[in-house]
Amino acid sequence: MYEKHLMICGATGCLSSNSGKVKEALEAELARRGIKEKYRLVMAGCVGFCEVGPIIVIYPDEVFYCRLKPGDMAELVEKHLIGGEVVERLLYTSPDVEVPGRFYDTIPFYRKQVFNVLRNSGIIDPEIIDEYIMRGGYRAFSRALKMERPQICDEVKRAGLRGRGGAGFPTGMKWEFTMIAPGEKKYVVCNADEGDPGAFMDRSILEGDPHAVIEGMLICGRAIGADEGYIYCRAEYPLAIKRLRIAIAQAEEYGLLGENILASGFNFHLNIKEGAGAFVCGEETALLASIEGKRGMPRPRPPFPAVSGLFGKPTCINNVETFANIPLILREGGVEEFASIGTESSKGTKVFALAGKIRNTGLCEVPMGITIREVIFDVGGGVQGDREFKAVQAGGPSGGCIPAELLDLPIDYDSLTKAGAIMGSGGLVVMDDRTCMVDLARYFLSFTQKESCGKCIPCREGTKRMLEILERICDGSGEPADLDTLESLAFSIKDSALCGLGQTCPNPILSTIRYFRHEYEEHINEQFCRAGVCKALFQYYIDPETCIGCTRCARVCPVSAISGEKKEVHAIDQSLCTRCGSCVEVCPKNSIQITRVRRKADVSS
Amino acid sequence: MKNVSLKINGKQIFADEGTTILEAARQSGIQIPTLCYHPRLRPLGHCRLCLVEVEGLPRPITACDNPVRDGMVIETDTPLLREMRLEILTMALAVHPYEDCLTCEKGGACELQEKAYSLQSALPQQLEREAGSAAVDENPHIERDERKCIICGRCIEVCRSVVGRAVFSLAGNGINTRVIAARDGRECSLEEAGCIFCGQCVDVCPVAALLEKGRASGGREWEMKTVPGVCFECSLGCLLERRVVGDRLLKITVPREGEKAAWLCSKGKFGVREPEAERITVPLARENGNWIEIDYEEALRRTAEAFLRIKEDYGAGALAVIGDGRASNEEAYVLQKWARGVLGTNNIDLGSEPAWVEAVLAAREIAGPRAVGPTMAELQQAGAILVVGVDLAERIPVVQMAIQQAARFGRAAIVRVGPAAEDENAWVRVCLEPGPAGAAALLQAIAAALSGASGAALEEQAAAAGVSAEALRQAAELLKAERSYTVVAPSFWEAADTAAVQALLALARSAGQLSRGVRNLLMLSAASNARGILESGGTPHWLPGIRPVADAAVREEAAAVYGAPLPGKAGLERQKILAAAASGKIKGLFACGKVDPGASLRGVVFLAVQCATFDAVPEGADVVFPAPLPHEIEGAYTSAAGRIHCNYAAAKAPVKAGWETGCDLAAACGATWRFADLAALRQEAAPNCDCCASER
Repeated sequence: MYEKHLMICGATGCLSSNSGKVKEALEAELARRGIKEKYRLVMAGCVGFCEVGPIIVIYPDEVFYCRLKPGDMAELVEKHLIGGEVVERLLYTSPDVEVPGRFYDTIPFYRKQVFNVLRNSGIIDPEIIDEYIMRGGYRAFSRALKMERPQICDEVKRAGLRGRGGAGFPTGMKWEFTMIAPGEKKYVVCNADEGDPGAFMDRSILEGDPHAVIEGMLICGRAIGADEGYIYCRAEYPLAIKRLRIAIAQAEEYGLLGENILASGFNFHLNIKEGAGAFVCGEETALLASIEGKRGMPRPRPPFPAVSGLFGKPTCINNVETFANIPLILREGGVEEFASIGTESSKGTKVFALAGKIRNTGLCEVPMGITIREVIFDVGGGVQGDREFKAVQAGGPSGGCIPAELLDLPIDYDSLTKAGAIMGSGGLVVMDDRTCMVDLARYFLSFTQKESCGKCIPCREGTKRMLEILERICDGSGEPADLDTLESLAFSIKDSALCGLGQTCPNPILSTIRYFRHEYEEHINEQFCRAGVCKALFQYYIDPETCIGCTRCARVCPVSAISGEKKEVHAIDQSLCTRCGSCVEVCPKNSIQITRVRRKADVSS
Repeated sequence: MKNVSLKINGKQIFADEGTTILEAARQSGIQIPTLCYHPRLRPLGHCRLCLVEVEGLPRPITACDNPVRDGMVIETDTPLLREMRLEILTMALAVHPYEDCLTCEKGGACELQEKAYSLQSALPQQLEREAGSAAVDENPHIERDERKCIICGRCIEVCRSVVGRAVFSLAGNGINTRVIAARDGRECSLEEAGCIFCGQCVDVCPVAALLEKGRASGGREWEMKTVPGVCFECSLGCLLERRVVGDRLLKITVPREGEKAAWLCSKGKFGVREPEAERITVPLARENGNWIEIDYEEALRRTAEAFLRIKEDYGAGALAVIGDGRASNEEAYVLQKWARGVLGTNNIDLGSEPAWVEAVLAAREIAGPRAVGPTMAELQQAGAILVVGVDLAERIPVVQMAIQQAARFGRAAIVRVGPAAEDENAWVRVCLEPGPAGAAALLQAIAAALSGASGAALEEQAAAAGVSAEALRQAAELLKAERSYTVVAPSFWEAADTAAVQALLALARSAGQLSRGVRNLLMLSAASNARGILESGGTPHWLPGIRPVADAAVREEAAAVYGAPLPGKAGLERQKILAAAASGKIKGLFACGKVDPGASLRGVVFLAVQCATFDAVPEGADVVFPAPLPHEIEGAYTSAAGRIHCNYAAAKAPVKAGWETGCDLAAACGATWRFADLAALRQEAAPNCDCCASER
């Protein structure tokens, strides 16, 4: 018997901050002491708090250790495992907690979270099906096996689940359309082609609880009458794919996948298709084309996949998170429980990936209807370095920005859409006063332009034209008419593009113009980028009041544009400065400030 | 079909269910601008110009690919839509080098130019993009200029869906998206990408990104005259349109919409524009091993003298007239009249296979003389198609295209008799390979299965044919479908004997493809105008109107018209004539068109030929008469299905027409008759040869 269970976060985030090495060190330490057998070490799924990884949670003691290094393991074993005392030093500390947080309930990051979709992540070993089953897994599926098909669709409808992939289409309706579509052969497809920059919800779910997704797909297959499913997962997610493969093999071994499942006469086979990472393949018709072996390119709808999808057969496509919600809804009493969380139009919880200039980078699951402020400041811990919050980009390149004045907006599909953003798959990128909103729009447009499949004119050429205008504005050669042109183009493209990628790509422009028009105008009319991002539109200067002459800036400057004696005020030679920003990074006194470019006319006057 | 009612621009409209908004609007005279839409291709949705507003929908939808629904209220021309269209069009123009419009071949016929004009687009600044820097024409037929490409997707679609190939694909992303020729994802030349140069991509290209090669500065589209014609590069007989400026043939195309719309193959599209080999325009004679130019009269005199001397010395049986299957119906009539009525021999065969003649006559017997074979449109609607023979893809590509479309986009099940060709496997449902007993045994076995043979009887048939009984049953089951057709490729006739022909017809009858008035049987000869030649008397045993030469009464009747008695002695078929020419039994030979390259004519004393180009002249020719090129000929041609089409001269021939040379040769040989013009010829041929009348 094990004395303790040590759940080491083995998700991609913690792995990249070296949790693998931490585990090795821990194993070595236990082996050295000859007590390996007493402890169970599990590379578990994501626990969300990537900012403080690697993380180990020790059960049954319920102690959350974070920011671990391989060198900490000897102490952890010595003190906690053998000595039975908590290693205070390795607990969660932060300026906003008085006492180091010992477990989830004492760490502010977790306080407002509700774990539904992430219910098992970090708690079970995702590579062992029994652990999923012990936590109630596959019970909803076996219940669904005894239900009539319309009844299953009806429960999903009543729960009010909406697609978690972005657009928020009611899942139950989609299932029903596919169920009633005529055809012997039907498919269930799971869209795991997570492509938004900074989003990693789907990856974490697949890595931490792959069976939840498989169970969701099984229930869907049963509901619509499909006997085959595909999980379209990007090849950049090797760990997710590995865990899925293990999960599928185990489910097959247990008779939960394959022929005549649980002697019900229901057959279901599951395949994994690795995508090559084109952003547009997240669009459902492009994704289907890609599975079929064609170039990942959207096609006009109708026909909708529910009628003619994969290989021309009725197909139900849902996102990873949508499927992971299904077992919760289909269990006994699940509908009511699910619908009890959230708002009138948006039920349940939503997983968000917090990124950008936020203190607590990571993954969180919150109830629908929570305000943006709560997510960013309570869960996310606010802006890094206590700088000023400027906006948050919701929904990646297809979404829009939400400014500070809308921080109290409740998070649900309709409020976000009204604000010019979208729920999207759940990426939240926080921006502070050093983010230029024009540059942000330019960045997203260059992303969509590169990812545009090139099929339809508005997306192929319209994005290029908008990008050109934005580049011009960022270079300081914008013209007053540009704003109108941009808006007019954006509206045209939004309404005329072939697929979701093209229809939503103007959102970053429209929302930044809507909320930060003054920044555009400043760029165009005053040739000034207040965020200090657009290099042609600002200058650095050293504030003589605060400069202490530490010389760090002068030493780090790659073009030797800064001069000054030790302990004396330094100065920047504007003719040499490339505005790389290295000096800003190293200045201990924040003395390097941004100012307008002094034109020749100003100098002479 | 259900009718739905909808409103477009306030106008009440009724349309069939399944009609697209665009089609419904056009049927009611409401124009919606389009750019990538092509009436003969599936909607592509690339250009987005055809957006319309539908009441109750949050955003405009494309009219080309959205079907009408009952009660729809549609607006096609609102200020918002106009602005949006203009915006989109401006984007398209921003990557199209419109400054080239002044010198572009497509000027006036360019669909982008037309849209720019009708929507009065502003001229945007050009966007930079990756595209080839110059036109590419590394092949003999098609010139590609990527800079002009607007990525409408038509060429990709036509190649995949119609031609059944995938030469083109999209590559790159965003503004740098390109249409490339590719094989396994790697950019390459058209040839390497598997192009068969059918030119259908050129025909559907809205701009000048794909163009017929060699028409540079020949004339703009609006200067071209359109002359309808028929292709006689194979026996299918596709209709086409020749586009000429003056006497220069610039391009060949097909009607885009309507009943006559069709697809072409490489031979039809690019067949003859400028002959590659040197053209013969004056008669030639061989003297001391050299060609010398001689008078037309002199050529006639030399030929007549030689032929009459041979007749005197060796009898009329030592003379023969052969052809390469491309003679028009009129030409065939005149040549046979000359051979029979003047030279006195039935040794005339202008090209067709004896087995094919046998099969056509037998089918005619059953179905009646007026029953015609299937059109390509009908084939595409087929429920099942039996394909017999191996060389459709190379020799009759358009039929191959129709069959693969019927299989891929229609509901046709394809059964194939012949070795499985690799690239077709995907859409051939059952492939039966003839065993050592040959095609006859196999066709018999399928016919037996169709007639309900089963058990031991079927096993026996299967064993004899060298296939499994199960395969036979399967094939028979498929062929029982409604709208079942058989297509026979030219290769079949090479080895077919009477038994094979009988088996083929028995099969067609059991499959319900052949009965009185029904002829769902397309028998394709290697000779392009085989059907017309047969009906015009151009084969040894049959007089015009398919009347037997062997019948004395028939001969009497013809003699009255020909002004001379007709020979009763049976004539030789083409292959036998060639054998006799090798052995010396045939001493005087007139060859109309190419002679098989392998044939030895060493026994021939005097060889007269009629050829358009030097490369067609056989070794040992004594006199060469010039011949017109296809687009210079006026004449009737009968397709394999039995339809007569007239080919009109698109350019004035610098030489005499084939039928004129025939008349002149007859006169030089002593005939008292002569046709003043085609009308007179057709009038005489008409009672005996209804195919020379007018278009049926």
